[in-house]
Amino acid sequence: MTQHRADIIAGAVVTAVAGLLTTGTRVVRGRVYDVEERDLPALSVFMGEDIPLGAKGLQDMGFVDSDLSITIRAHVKSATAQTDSTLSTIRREVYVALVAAGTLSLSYVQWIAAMGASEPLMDGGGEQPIATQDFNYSIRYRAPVSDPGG
Amino acid sequence: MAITGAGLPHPSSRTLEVDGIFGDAFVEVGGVETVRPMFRCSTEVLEDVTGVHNALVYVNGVTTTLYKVKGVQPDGRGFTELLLEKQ
Repeated sequence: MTQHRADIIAGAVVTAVAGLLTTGTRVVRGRVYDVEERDLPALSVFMGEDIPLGAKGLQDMGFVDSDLSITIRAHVKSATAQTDSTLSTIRREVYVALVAAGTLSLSYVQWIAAMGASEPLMDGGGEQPIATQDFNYSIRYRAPVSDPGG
Repeated sequence: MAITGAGLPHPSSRTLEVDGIFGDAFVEVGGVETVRPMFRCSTEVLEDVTGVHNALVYVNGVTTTLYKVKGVQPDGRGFTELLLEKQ
């Protein structure tokens, strides 16, 4: 069964950010359990809200454009490196990867926009400092009114 | 536990041997599975020691695992908990 285009886009984002220099293949989509320490540094990819532009005129033409929010969360741990600097390195690598991915090789994706990042959260409550940061992206895509499947 | 730091009493090694309880129980920090190493000992044995913060620590003579003291938390009832960072 054909998946919703939003789902396909989220999967394509995972593919685009897998294999980065710092986080490697340690990328999980929709992570609901804690990250294992041995899997750090790591990325989690979350599908966010999906907002149709809502113009009735667009719908009358047989398609709907929507903005899909994607959050990419980086997790790092180190007693020696400055963890927020490592997060910045990962943030850059993610950005470059998504720019290079263009429209994610999906004909219905129009563009990907970086929507900023959250404040780095650093915590010394474990055996070494742990830090996380969210990188936010918005992806505009088009789908037929009759079926948002890919 | 052996604490090593510039302000510790042994004149050459700057090492203090301390009896106490070491623990490294599971904690979740920032969505990551980890442990929280700590050492609980008598406050009295640390009373005259300066420079415990950032001192290096070996536990139970295992010199392959080194910790650094990142927190000193006396409970006011005779015991102090040292928060440790794995090096």
